[in-house]
Amino acid sequence: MSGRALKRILYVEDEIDIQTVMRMSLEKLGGFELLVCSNGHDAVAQAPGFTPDMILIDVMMPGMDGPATVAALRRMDMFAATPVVFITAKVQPQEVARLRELGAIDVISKPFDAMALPGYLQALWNSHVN
Amino acid sequence: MPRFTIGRKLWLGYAFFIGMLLLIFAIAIAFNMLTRGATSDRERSENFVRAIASFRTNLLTTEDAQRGLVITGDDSYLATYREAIERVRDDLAELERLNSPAAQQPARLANVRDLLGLALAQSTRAVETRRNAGFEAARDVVRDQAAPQMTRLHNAIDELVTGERLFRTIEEARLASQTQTANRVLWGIIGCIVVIGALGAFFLQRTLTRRLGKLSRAAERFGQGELDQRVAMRGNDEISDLATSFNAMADTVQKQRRALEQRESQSRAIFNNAADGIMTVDGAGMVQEVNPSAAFAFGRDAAGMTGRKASGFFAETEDHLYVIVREQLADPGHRPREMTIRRPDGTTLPVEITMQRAVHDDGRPIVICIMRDVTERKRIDQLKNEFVSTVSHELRTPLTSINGSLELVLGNVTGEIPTEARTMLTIAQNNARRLVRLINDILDMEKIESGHIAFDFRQLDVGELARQAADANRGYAERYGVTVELVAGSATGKVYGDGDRLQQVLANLLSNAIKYSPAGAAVELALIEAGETIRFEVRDRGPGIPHEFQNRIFDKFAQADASDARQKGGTGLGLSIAKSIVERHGGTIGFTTSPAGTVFTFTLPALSAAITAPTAAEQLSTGPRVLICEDDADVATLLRMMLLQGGYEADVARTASQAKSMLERYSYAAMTLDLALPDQDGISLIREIRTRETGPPIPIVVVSITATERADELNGDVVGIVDWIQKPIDQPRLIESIRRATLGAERQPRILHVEDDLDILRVTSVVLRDIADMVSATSVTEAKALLLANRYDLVLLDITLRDGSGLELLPLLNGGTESTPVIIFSADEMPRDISRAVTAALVKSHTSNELLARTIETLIQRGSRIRTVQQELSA
Repeated sequence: MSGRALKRILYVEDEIDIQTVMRMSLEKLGGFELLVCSNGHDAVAQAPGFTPDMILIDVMMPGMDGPATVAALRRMDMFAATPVVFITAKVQPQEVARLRELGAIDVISKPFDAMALPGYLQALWNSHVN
Repeated sequence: MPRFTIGRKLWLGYAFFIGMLLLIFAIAIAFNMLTRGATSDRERSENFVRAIASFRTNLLTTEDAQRGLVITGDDSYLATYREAIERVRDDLAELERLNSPAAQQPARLANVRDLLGLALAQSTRAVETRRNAGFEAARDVVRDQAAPQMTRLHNAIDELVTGERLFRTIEEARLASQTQTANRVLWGIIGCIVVIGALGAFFLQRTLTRRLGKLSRAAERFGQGELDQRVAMRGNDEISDLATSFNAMADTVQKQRRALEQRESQSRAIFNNAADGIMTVDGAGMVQEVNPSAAFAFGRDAAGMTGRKASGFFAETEDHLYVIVREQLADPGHRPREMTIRRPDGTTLPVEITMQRAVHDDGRPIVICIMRDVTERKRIDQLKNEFVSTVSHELRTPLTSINGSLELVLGNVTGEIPTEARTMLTIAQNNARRLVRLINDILDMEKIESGHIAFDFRQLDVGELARQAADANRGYAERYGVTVELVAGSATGKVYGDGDRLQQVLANLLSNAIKYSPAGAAVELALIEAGETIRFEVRDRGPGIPHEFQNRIFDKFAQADASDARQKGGTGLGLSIAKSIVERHGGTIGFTTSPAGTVFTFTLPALSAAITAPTAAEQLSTGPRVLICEDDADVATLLRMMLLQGGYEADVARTASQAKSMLERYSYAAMTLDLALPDQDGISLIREIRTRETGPPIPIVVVSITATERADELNGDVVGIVDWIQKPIDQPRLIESIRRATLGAERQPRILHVEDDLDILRVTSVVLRDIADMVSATSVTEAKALLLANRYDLVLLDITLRDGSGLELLPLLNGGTESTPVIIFSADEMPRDISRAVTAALVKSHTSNELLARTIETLIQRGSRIRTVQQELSA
């Protein structure tokens, strides 16, 4: 995997406004290829066809929440090792620790810096693959 | 009116008796004198009678001599005659001296004297006549004149004698009468004394005994609890005074008793009706009394709890309870501790408990425990946490969109925007950011206050801390045209703290200083060593803090004024949070201000020199050895320093495998264990240690961030875990746990086995593990090091070793004040001259395991006896 650039990101988020902001940030500003899903089921259904390099996912969502979605994706062999970044409005330390235990390489807190996010994800990716 | 007190009565009695005694004495003297006079007179009378007798005899002698001369005419009678006359005259003189002066006696004596003169004259004429005229004439003179004269003289003498006798008789009679009178008077006086004495005694008896008896009976009944006893006592003396005092005392006692009873009934009422559970426990940890609330909380019958061990009613382990009780009793003002009640039906109840020492009625010390059911509070806490969490989520979600949109628009991602629109959007962005900060601060505040924040305590270099803080705030300072300067020559040192949280404090102080500084000014950050603390100072050149605001500055939402808050963009929570963080680090925060600027300071306890430079303490320490199993170098150093200060020696293992090899090689009194080790999970390490152990289980103190959560995992299937200590580490608790752990370990005798054959070492450790802690050394060098560092109860010694002879160790073992028993356990026969220096020698191939164990057991017991005797001798 070494040396491969970050290109395709699966983004799961139930808030349409935030989806729009994220599209603007990652697609327009960061130039990434983004698949946006509004819930866990869509994500699980559409991810295999998209083959993302990284999964960026909200924690609290109606129905299937972030951790449950990640668990479902991890059960598929192709996503067993895909880096996951959670994005959450709950930033209490024990919450962050729990998410890291689920295998997240990072937890980004809301509100995030839309201008800096593409660079940050790129840096995270670089340090993860190397 | 003068009081007729008992004292005065007694004095009067004494005076009376003394007077009477004096009287008796006077009478006796008078009587004595009287008697003495009578005696001398009697003597005189006897002498007088004797003198008369002599007088008569001598008179008869003159007559005889005169007759002889007259009849015979022999002149030889003349000498006798004259001699007798001389004696008669002498006797007369004696009679005149002794004659009684009474009555006619002097006249009678004078008559005798006259008649004597006449008689002697006639007698002498008769003698003359005989010599001149012959017998016939002389016979006539004698017959007619001398003889009748003599007869008259004798008659006069008879009269004198009769008179004297009469006088004597009268005198005796008078004396007898006087003696009788004196006796009567004496007996009379004695009778008087007896009668008056008896009367006095009777009255005194009436005054004293009867009245004192009355008082004494009242006092006795009072003592038996009849508190209404009072004494009515007539008179005006000491006893009536005593009765008055008794009555006053009885009044007071009765009043106090009533007050006491009232208080007691109040206390009883409080005890019985208090909403909080109250339980008293005696020194042995047995329940004494339980109030209804406590009994309800425990889900038990109060009567069924008394006399049973209090610890049995709680879910905590005895060790944990022991720590809590110690902590509570050590400091009466201690914060309540949370404990969990275990009910008979299996349910649990969280309570907050405070303990207080007290003394029972019978003088025994007891502990009063007051318990409050905190179920509701915990539920509310839980609700609040959920609420805060939810609210933060709900607020942050829209803010994410707002903030993100504004950033992208202002970042020209959507294309160039007109200047006026940019101004408006910037305002929106600033306020959106402020809202985010506010939410973050509120959450921080809530977390710190509720104690939910987990501080990650580590050793931190204060210089580094200050540099990071200055660097992090330079960008912000530039916006205000202010510089941030680290003051040169600042103190260096280390503190124990959470780096991120301390950065938060410094950032807050620095950003405040920057905000209020005039453009072009410098904000200075200085570090100052102040005794055992390190002081951080943030100095600005701002306008100073308004006087009326100074005492509210650390309050929540405190800002000089609302418009100021908006202008400066703060939330009003920063200083309050900073204060909480500093206080959680054991420090203090404060400020000094003037119109020329403000200095905010906070202090942190410095890690002492002993902790950062351990060698001195290390060399001194000779305590039991503890193995620290901890992967974080800083924490390991800290634990080591804490243990060294507590009087222990410590080794550090950074990984599970290192710990295992050290445990195999050396003997440790206890070990501390971090559950998160790089190469093995702590819990599985504990299980492995237990299965591999050959001796008694090593006491383990778990020191970990996740200590309490993971305590349940073991579910009690591993013995020997002394305590679970949560990080950050509480030194007193750590030392206490280790102390308890090593107390148990010290009871086992320690044996050093010096042997290079590992198989034999393994065999002896198995054979001897039940009676001793085995330490092994495989070379002379290693054994020497161990012997210099530690004391062993016995040494098992092989002679042939890789790097020399085991016998080289003997001087080390027999030197000093106490020699260590040594058993040579070798394949070689022992040289004869060595045998005196050792206690026993066993030859390997000839010695069964039982013999080895038995020999060692005997020696250990003897060794302890010898030591006991030595201690007694030296004491």
